[in-house]
Order: sequence, then C-alpha cells, then structure tokens
Amino acid sequence: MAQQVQKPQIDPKQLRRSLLIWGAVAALLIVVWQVGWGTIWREGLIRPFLNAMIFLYAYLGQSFVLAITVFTIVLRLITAPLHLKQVRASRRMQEIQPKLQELQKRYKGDKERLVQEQQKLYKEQGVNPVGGCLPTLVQFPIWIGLYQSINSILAHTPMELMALGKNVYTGFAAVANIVPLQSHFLWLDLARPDPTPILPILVGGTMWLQQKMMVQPGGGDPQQAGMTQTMQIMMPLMFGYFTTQFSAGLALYFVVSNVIGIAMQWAMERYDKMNGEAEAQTSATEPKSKGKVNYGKKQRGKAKR
Amino acid sequence: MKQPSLQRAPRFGIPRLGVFMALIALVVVLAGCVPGGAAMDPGWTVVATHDDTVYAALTTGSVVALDADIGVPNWRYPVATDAPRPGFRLPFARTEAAENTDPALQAVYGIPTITDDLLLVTSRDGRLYAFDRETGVRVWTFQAQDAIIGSATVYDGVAYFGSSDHHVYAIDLETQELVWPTPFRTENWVWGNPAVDEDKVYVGSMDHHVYALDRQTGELIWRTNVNGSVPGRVALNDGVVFAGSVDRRLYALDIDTGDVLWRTEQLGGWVWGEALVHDGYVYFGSLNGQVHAYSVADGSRRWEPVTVEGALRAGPALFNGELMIGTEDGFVYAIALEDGLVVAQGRVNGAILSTPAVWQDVVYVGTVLGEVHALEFVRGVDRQLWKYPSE
Repeated sequence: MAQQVQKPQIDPKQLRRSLLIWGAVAALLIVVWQVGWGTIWREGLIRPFLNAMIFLYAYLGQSFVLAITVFTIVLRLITAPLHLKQVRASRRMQEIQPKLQELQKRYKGDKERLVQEQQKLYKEQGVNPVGGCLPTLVQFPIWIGLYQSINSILAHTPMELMALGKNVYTGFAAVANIVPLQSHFLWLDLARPDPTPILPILVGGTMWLQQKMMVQPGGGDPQQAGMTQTMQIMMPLMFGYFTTQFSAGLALYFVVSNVIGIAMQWAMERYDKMNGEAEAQTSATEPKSKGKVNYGKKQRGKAKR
Repeated sequence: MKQPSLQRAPRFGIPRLGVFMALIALVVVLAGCVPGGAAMDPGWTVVATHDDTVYAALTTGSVVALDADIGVPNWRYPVATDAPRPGFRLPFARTEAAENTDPALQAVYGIPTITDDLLLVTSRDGRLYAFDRETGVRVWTFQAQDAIIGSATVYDGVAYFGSSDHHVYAIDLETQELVWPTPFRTENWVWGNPAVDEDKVYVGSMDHHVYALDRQTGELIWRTNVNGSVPGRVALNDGVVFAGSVDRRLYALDIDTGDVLWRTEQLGGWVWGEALVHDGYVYFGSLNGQVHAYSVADGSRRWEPVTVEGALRAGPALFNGELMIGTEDGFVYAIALEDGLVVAQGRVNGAILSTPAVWQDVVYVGTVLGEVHALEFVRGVDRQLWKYPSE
C-alpha cells in the first residue's frame, strides 16, 4: 500500500499537455534565436501598433486623441478574454478562500496532505492560483510596445522622427501628409508630460477605481486584505507619479484604457448578477433532492463529466 | 517526530505580489528609458574639418577641437573629460564636472559651422553658440524660442538658421542682432539648414514647403509644396534647389520661381540627408538604406540604387572622387561616382547619423556613442588612425 502511495502516477493527458507546452517554448526559443528578438519585437509589435495608430490618425480627422481612443478600444476588445479570465480567476480565488483556510486548519500538521488537498480543491473549482497574474504579465509587452510606438508617433526630436520613418510601412502613402503629427490637444503637448496635475490625477483615479471594482475584499484573511489595500493605493500613486514623467499621449492611453476597463467591469458585474439571479430562479424551481452545487458554467460541465 | 511547521498555502496574495513587483519593474524600466519625454535624446556626434583641425560636438554635450593627425584636443568646451560610457546614457552622464564654469550643451544634431574666427554650434536647448575657433571660449549665444536642430549657414557675416519655434532667423555675427525686422515664420518646425546665395535664402520646413526668402529683408519670394515634411537641409547648385521630403522623393526646384523641374519616383524610404551635387549629378541617401544618383539636368537615374547596411539619415561627402557615407549600423562606405560600385567599406562602433567630414586622405565620422573616428582607407579596407575619446 505504502508503495502505491509513493509511486508517482503520470497522467497521460497531463504529460501530453506538458510536452506540448515545452515543445511550443522550444519552438519559440528557436525562432527568437534565428530571427532575433529585436526583429520579432519590431515587426511583431512596434510596427503594427505604430502603423495602426497612424492609420487611425490619418482617417479620423487627424486627431491623436481620437486615434488613441479607438486604438485602445480595439486593443481592449482583443485582450478582453484575458481580462475576463483574470477577473474571474481573481473572483474564484476569493470565493474559495474560506475553504482554503479550513484546509489549513484541518491539515495543520500534515504539509504534504495540505498541498494535495489544496490542489484537489483548485481542480474541483477549476481555479489556477497563478491564473490571475498571467494575463497581466501577457499585457506587459503590449504596454511597453505601445509606449515605444507612441514616443515614435509623437516624434519631437530627430531620433524619434527617425524611428518613425524606419517603422512606417512603405506602402502607407498617407504618412507623408500627416508627419509630423499634430500633438497639441487642449492644454497638452502630447509628446511631453502634462505640466499640470490633471492627467496624473486622472490616471491614478481611474486606476484606483478600476482596481476597486476588480478586487473584492480579501476573504477574511487580514494579511491578504492588507496586501490588496496597499496595492490599491500604491499602484495608482505610482502610475500617477510616472505620468508626470511620461508623454501625455501615453497617459491618455492609460486613462482611456482604465475607463474602458471600468465599463467592462461594470458590464460584467451586471451580466454575472443577472445570470446568478436566473440560475437561482432555475434552481428554486428544480427538485431540491438532487442537491446540486451551484457551480459556474465550467464547473457544471466538469461535474457532468 | 515533530512535524515541520505549517507551510503557508499558496494564496491569492502571492501571485498578486509578483504582478505588483513586475509592474514596479515595468514603470522603472519605462521611466528609465525616457524620463521627461525627449529629455534623454543625446543627439548625435557631428564633425567638421578645417585645415588640420577636426571640430566636433559630442553626445556628452561637449564641443572639441581635435588635432586632425593624432586626435588630441586643442581645446574642449566645457572643460571636463569625455570618456564614453557604454550603453544608454543618463542625464548625469553629461560633462558637468565641478570645475566647469560653463554648462554642457544639450543635444546637437547640426554640423558645426566654421567661419574665419568662430565655430557656430546649434543645440536643442534653443541656443546658437559661438565659440572662438582658436581657444574654444564661448564668445556669445543667441536664444531662439525652441530647439535648433539644423546647422547655421553663414553668408556675408550673417548666420541663417531655423528653429522648432517655426521661425527662420538671420543674425548678424558681429552684433548678434536680428538682421530682418522679424524672423520669418513658417507653419511648422524648421529643422534643416538653409541654403543661401546672394539674393535669397532657401529653406525647407516640416509644413511640407520649401521657401525662398529675400536675403536682405526676410520677405517671402516663393514657396513650393513638396507633399511632405522637409526635415533636412536643402542643397543649391547651378540654378536648382534640391529638397528631400518624407514623401520619399527628392525634388529639384527652379531657383527663381520654385517650380518643380523634376522629382524622383517614390523611393523606399524618406529622403532626409542633404543631397550632394557634383559634376552634373545629385547624390543622396534614403532612410531605407539606399544611395541614389540622378542627373541634375533631367532627373534621370545615373545608376541603380546602392543598398547598404543600415538606415541613411545623413547625406554623403565627397572624398577623393568618391562618395563617402555613414549608416545607422556603423558602416562607412566609399562608393564610386561613375557606376555606384562600393569600392571600400569600414565599420565603427555606434550609429553614424551625420555626414562624414574629410581632410586630405582621412575620413572623420561621429557616432551616437559620442566618439569621433579617424579612418583611412587602404585598398578598400579601413584602418582606424585614432578615436576620440581614446578610451
């Protein structure tokens, strides 16, 4: 019996998945090695971003504010699945906090069993403990690429203009008509930081609100609640401060992006609420003897299987 | 046996902390790249030669006069070392040592202008600096309302230059007073240096026009739309004004009327660097890394474009009957005028974004790393004579 417990069991499904992941990572590394990270970064991110924004600028009344707003909306729509996944993962983690704490109490002296039970719980609930942060990490390159693209588009120095000239697609004839881009909007020179505190406050404020809506109070764990609260204050403050250093164009992107995030969050909450009410009504009409647990869609599917 | 103490379960806070730290790293990286927007752009090293002296404005904010043979400075402004620092430069990398009484220049992009007794250097801080050519003492400065990107062109004791404040200025070198009643205003930045003849001043603007102004009064004589910004210098030769445009063409304009005599087909990249006119042909580079040659008379191609490694921001120099041009990838090419063949090639460390200077049999190039290289070409191979700073 003891041997059976110690013998590692390999799940063929998991093995296939692992092999697939490592194969993809290896393929990616080979591509990076062959093509060069700089080329991939430039051709895969900077040039598409830059040309898309210039295209929008050219055909949306040569307004950079309008261009960046539309671009942000498109970008948020593309990354919406990631965002939703992040929010849902964060919520699920919040929801199972009491159960996790219960497990900690129950298996206080048995570390190995605790880990096993936690993994089991995660699997049952369809929760990935790092699922909440991965989407954010995936968005990092997008932010950095966007930052570089905006700096080139709002070229203010010969170096920046040169970067723009090299990255514009050759067939994009409309560029000649719009370079250098009109970078003035209200009191702002979008190529330079906002001299007033307005944009930093807007960036910090919208970021705070978005985080407030996204992160629920932390599941009874005071340490976690403290951490969440610190983050909710520190992040907006940090971004607010760095807005005083970044070009106003990038700050504008953050504001628009945050506002769209807030709207998405609100819409999602509404949807979940309505969905929850509908499910509650359905379960109220069903016979109680079945004793079904109110899983989400994914869990329901798993339960059936 | 006592069980090990309770291990904290993987909690929501841990990955969150990771994201938080990564975000801090991100903003630090971003802030480290370009604090204050464009404040980090150090410009590029520009060089000019006269007699046996190489004058250079470095990315460290210094201006130096070097002995052309050995690369030792005759003078330096401000007084400090110019040891290059590898990689990206931070603002505090500029030479502002305690012993300096004068501040370093901000980014310089225009080649220094040499007069009988002065060295004129323009800077992104909006100043035109005049240095004593013999001693390096700063004699005077003139402040424009915004950055001065192009060089000053001196004609008959007057310096003509443009600024990002949209104006074209004419300054008397003796009195440092404006020659025209008011500086001429265009609709956008003026980054290229003007070309000047006895009657007129020709200058390109980022408002898509080339202007001809009365040299004495600064009044507009003609202006021509070239379908794109003109970021570089216009060239003047034998009744024709040549202007490169971001619409990827070179335009040849009539000197008297501004009419377009001919223009090239659309090339593979922006035409930024100044054109070199020699013996009935005009030579220039484009940002996509190609060197072009056209007939001045009718705009026909002399030879097919020569592709080089790296973007060509600056125009070529004439060197022993060949074109000498530097690229962003640090290559220096010698190209035969007749057939466009590459006859010699060298490479230095760092992007070359300004036109090389030549003196006797030596080519001098400045790089974005703040270095000046003296190169000699022997049977198609480059040999570095010296480098400044030497370490």
